[in-house]
Amino acid sequence: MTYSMFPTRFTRVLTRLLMVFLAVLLFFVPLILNWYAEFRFLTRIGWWAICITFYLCAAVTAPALFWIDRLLGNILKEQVFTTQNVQLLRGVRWCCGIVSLLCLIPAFVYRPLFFMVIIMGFLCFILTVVVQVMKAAVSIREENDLTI
Amino acid sequence: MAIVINLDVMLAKRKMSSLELARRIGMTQANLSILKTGKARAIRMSTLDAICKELCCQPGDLLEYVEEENHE
Repeated sequence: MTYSMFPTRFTRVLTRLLMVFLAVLLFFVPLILNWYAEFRFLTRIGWWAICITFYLCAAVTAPALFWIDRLLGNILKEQVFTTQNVQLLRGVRWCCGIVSLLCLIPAFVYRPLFFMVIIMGFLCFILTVVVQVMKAAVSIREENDLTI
Repeated sequence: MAIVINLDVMLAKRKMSSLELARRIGMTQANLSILKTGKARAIRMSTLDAICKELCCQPGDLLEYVEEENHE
């Protein structure tokens, strides 16, 4: 191993903190929205649109964070270019795509959600490219493993 | 693949076990087994050199091209 594992470990700790943060947020979203509605004009429909969208996106984000944690765990075990990691990245990509689609319809009610649609859609696109790169890397690694 | 590795044949001719050969050329038996069973996708020149040196043979004694039948 010629590179430091500290960034990977640190990212894994951050991922786990995000999981905890997401779990805590599930209980506080209505309160946060009420507080937000006090100083920004937010219609009742907008309140419900954001609330429901958040809970739906949280249901999709939770597995994505779990898969990211698994991926980082595999990297720490020096199992980087494996088909399992390609599957994990694919899963995360689909989660980004689903979140983008989930935010699309509520975005017509609460316009700032369009930023989520664009950002998550772009992230889905970038992860698609990353998955292709990983697949090529797995193929090269398998070829190298069978080079005596 | 159409390239066949006749390592078993050469080992039998030289009356050497694969374990002994692996030890002599500094390779694991697992890797040598990949070579013997034809699963290897590529072989390094350094590996071929080491095997030929230990088995006192030519690369042509180890590698054989067998034309694959075209299935229609």
